[in-house]
Amino acid sequence: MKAYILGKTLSSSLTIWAILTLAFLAVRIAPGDPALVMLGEYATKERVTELRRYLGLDQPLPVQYVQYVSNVLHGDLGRSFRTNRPVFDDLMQQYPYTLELAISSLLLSLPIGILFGVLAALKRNSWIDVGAMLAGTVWVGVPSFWFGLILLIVFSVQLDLFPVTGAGKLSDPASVIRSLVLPTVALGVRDAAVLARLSRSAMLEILNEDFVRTARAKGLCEKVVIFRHALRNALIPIVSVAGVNAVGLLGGTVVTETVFSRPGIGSLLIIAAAQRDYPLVVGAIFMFSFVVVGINLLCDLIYGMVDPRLSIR
Amino acid sequence: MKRIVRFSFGTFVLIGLGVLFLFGCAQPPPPTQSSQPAQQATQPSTAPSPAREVVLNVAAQDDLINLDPAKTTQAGDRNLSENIFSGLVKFKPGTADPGPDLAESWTISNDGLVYTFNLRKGVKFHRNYGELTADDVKFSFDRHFDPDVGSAVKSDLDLIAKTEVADPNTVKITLKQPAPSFLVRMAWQSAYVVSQKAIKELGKDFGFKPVGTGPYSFSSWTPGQEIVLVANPNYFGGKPKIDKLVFKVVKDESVAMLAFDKGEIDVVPVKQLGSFRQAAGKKNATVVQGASQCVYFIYMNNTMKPFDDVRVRQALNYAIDKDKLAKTVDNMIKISPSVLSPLFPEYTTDVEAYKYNPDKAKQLLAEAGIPKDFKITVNYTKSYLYEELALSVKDQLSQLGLSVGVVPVERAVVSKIRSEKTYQLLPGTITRFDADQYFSAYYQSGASQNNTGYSSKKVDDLLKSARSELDPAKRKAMYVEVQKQIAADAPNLVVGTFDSIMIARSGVKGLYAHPYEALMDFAYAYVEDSK
Repeated sequence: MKAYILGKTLSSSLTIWAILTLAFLAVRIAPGDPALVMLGEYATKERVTELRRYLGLDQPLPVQYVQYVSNVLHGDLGRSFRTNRPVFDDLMQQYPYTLELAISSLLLSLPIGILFGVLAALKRNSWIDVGAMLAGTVWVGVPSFWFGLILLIVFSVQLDLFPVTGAGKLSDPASVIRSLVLPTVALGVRDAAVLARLSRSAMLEILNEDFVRTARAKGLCEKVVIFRHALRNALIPIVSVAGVNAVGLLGGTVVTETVFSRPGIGSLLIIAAAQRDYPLVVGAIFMFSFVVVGINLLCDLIYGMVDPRLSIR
Repeated sequence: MKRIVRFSFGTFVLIGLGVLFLFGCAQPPPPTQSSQPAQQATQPSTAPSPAREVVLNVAAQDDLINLDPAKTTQAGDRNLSENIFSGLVKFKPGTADPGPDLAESWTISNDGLVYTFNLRKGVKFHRNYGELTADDVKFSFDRHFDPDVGSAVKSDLDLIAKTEVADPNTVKITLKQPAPSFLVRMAWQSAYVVSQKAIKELGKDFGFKPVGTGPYSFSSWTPGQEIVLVANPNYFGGKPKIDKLVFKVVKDESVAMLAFDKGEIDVVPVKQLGSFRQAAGKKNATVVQGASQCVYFIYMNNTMKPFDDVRVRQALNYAIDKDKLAKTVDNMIKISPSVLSPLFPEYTTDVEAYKYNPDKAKQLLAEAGIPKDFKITVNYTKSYLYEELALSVKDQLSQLGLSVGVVPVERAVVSKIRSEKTYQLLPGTITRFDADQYFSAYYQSGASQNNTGYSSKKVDDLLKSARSELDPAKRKAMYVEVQKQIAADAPNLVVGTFDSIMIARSGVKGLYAHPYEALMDFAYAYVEDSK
């Protein structure tokens, strides 16, 4: 068991290290010089040289890399090139906004997606099926930015129901909820469309299984067959995908945050990448991978404890 | 199969729990950095007025980055700094002519080397950081040359040899060489005066909790959401009529216009064509528009074939109908033949204007040996009016038979290809306030900001002489000659001067078109019914 834990921890650490290294190299390979971007019209040769030295970019790449990894190991993600503030502080200021949006979108997309998917499967080739799948297909193809603007025009400007900008104030929870509604719809409906298509195919597959036929042959009422036998089994792959989507939502808020003028990791990453703010981009990727890999490691360890065969393998 | 399924389900549950846990952990203290209690901010002690608080919500395309005048290089920060800080002199509204600000008056020695500024008495820094003294002024300038400060804008102050305190209200600045443009430079943001005490107390935090002497003092910042400034009751120009300015971060200009329609935002700086068109049709809105010192160009890479041939550059100038270019952007750019904005006293129209002449363009291209199907690439960033200009240039040059492609690139890539001179054609802008700094940075041989790689010995010599020429008439004549020579050499295609534009809700008065494209100064602003 100890070897199992050690092995899993080691492989997770290696994964994080690999992601960190790739992110570190990728931002530096991308064309563009942070000093040139930051200085703008003040980018004289002397200032650029000075600023590169100030930012530590005059050092050879391996030296920068060793220095960065060493700092990360000491819990320091560095300082943002743009703002000179600690990267960790910048990220933690924005995380709550992205998380609240991702969670609310998930809470919206899961029931809607599953409901329409299951209904479409049960009423195969009916107008519900065709309608739900057509709407889903169209919805997946609708550009998020455009959809967001339409929501704003209709529900904020015309109907005056929700604010156009901001994320509300924590001192006024109602304002937080009101500002969350439209971004949640913009992000969640798209995700619901994906889930509906998936739920439909999963449900159709299950409905053709022998155990469903057996349940029906036993004379069970249709509700019990559908809800107790078919749906429960169909939910497993659906929820697996929803889980992956949930992680994806964290990073998928970029466009939504921009359209709805919300703070968050997505919009922060866009600015950081555009301005070649290396520490902020790498720090954000590192923290994101840390959470995902960390959760997976936790799962592996729990499985190892629950199912000892895994740890023996 | 079963194991995989269980694993995925468990993963999901744990991710959900992890996310909830993180959410719970990260939620406490609201991410607002406040420099003073809100009550103190909205109810200045000297004037506890029962009247309704006058608040203006202003669209800010960028979040706060750093408001330390030594670090401010981005447009978003400039809009905030403009209202928080003061300099020794300030541009008179709507002009590029420096007038008194922290300095009530000044004298210039006969040799043009020593400027003596007499400071206004009784000026107080925000948030009880004490009274302004000559020591603060000296400190503000000297710190740009301290390597530990890492000033990004010290080139604006590189004319200064030394700053001395003559007495608590008098500052003497000695220049390295006579520079008639010095006063204009003193009016720009790099020469803002900061509180020595505040810098020492706040350290790096000064950039996020700035202390100035301007009409508004910094109150709070909610990252990614808003920056709040409140009226400075002790402002030497009189307490502003607007009690609170809320700069709301709205990254997209079209969304800012929606927020304007909804009434969430009262003032929007307009830099893009779509919003300009919307602004023109809005009721209950005023469009504030006027000339700025920002000039739009299509840069040509003079170091790359065939643009190293003056005939090719002239041909492209003849091939483009500038009126058509201006119409493409609804005249947000005013056509001008000179590389300078009309706001410069040295501006002249007595230069080669390259009136639209496609036959002449074809003839010049043929003389230069350019094949009819020659391929040209126009790079551009999707911001400001660059895309519209790039597409119009493509259309017009295509009519000449040239094969023109447009390739959008990131801003970071533009700064790289411009610096390394690896582009062919590139739309761009230049905004500067004094002719010396403008020409020496952008047109002098080998200058770092010489985006086109242009080189002319005649221009270099004229610039060198004009820089120290104290006789205004002689200096102007030299700069007129410079403009003529540059026009003749056509290192780029001058489109014209960009208007400084903003849209404000009807009733909001006292705003003016700033010479620096769409910079917003609220010192004189008021709401009509609260005047």
